[in-house]
Amino acid sequence: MSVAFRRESDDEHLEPTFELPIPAGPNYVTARGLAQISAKLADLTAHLDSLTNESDIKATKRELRYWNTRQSTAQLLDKPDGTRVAFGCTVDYVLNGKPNTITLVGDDEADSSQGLISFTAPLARAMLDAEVGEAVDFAGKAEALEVRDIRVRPDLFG
Amino acid sequence: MSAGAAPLDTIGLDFGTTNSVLARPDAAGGADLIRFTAPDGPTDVFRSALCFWQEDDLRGALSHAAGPWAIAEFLDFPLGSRFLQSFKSIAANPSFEHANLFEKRLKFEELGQIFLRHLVKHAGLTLTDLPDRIVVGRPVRYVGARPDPKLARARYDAMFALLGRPIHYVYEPLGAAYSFATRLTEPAILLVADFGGGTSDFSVVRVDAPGAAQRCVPLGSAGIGIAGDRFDYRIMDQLVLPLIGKGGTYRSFDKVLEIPAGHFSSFSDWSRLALMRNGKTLDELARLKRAATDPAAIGRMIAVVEHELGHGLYEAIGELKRTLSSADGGAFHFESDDLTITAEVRRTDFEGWIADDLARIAQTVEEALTNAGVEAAQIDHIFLTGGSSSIPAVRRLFEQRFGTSRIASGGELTSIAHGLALIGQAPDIESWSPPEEEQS
Repeated sequence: MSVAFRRESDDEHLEPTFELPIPAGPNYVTARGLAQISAKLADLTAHLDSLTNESDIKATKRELRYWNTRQSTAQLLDKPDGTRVAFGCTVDYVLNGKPNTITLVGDDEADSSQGLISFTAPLARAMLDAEVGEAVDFAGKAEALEVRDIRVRPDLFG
Repeated sequence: MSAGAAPLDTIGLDFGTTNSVLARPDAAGGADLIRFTAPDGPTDVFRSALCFWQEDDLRGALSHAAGPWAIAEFLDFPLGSRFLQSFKSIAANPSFEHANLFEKRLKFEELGQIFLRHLVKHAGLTLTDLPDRIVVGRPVRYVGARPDPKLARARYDAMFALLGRPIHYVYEPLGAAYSFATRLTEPAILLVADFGGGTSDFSVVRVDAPGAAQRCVPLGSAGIGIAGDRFDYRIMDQLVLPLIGKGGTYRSFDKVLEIPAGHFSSFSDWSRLALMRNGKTLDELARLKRAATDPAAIGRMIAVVEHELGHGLYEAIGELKRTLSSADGGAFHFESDDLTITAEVRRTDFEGWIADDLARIAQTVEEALTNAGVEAAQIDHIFLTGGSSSIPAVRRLFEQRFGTSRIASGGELTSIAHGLALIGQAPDIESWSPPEEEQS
């Protein structure tokens, strides 16, 4: 019989648990991003001590392995000078007539609701190295995106 | 190893992907490396390489040399020889059956036995006067996408059967741990990280105070088939492969298609590159050259294979890696009649190329800690050894995870053999064998 018609009992259906996936490419961090990793590790370690349930402990340990790996591979970059779009810069830009602001950060620090975008995201890659006033190609359209201003937030690099 | 007793005669044999090293116990309870009088001068390190050629006067007979002598023979007459390096990488590869060398087909164990005969001879030993106890290192995990450890074990057994003695296998990082333990006077928990040519292996070991019945107790290990040879490939992929057709196109009827990456997969591994020089592969490449948009590029690839440029590329890549271990930038320079490449490489470029490999190595360190049931804070010493432990980005993984004060290094190429010779004198040698192989 085809497996599609077979009902498996619950204990047959134990999915293997995999490690949390590590984002591809270099693990660049701002000073703030590096501090967040340490804080996350401290939180998880404290949380682990309060747990009694076996599956919660397993899940937390897996999360700890992820953050420990990220701490090992983190590469703290220097504060950018702001003359061109680079990792750690906050950029005002206009795309399709709409103004917007994003800050280029590492994969773990990214939070799109706060305008923090991973430096590996297509939008970030499109504007890397651009100067103020420069228009760059984006999403297959020539000169679709214009860089209006480049700043460096003081809280990112301490 | 109790003081006063005569040392039990043993040989510790570290059969590495890139280098092999032999060690024997000395009278003072330590161990000495066996020195080779190589053509370039005396050395403790015997390159795990073979060179084959045919003598004109002996029809069909295959002559061979190994180690530093293989390199010397090859450089004397590159076009008439076949140079095979990193052949340990094929030990656990089920798709490898035999190497075609001139008219001969040699299986892994035959290659291994030829290598061992040369190694023993150059060490000033004979098969009959070897000591009764031989301790051989093995990786925690073998190289390859789907390595077959059972097959590797069978091939190892067949290869080392040549020595005619019972063979004790010990995980390579445990050898390094035992060697490092001789520096310690206090009980400690040790993490050994061994970065070889083919594999990166990690072991957590509890070391008891000197004089304890069993000084080192292995707690847990993990390994991954990513190490020096993989970093070589990343450099090759960036600097060499684009010039020999990777990313180029070919015509198929009225379509222009990208050249499949599969043509370049053998460049990912020095042993596979050496074995590309066979009729079938060269016919395929000749067909590809006729259809390619840039036939000259494929011509250069054929030249790399036919003219045995693998050794020269290996040297050029090794030179760049060594430069980048101490400087922020360096030049890659490779010159031959068929292909000349010069490129400036910054250390940050190289670190970007190997970033994903470093992340997987860092994950494997976490796996070793988990297997051992030990927290990072409980580790007293981290011992980094093996050639790639000199790469700053590799060291940084450990500095950021464990802090700098606990990290020690040394004996990059020799610590494993040294420790294996010491383990050979332990009364409880059986307890050192890898767990899954106890029954065999």
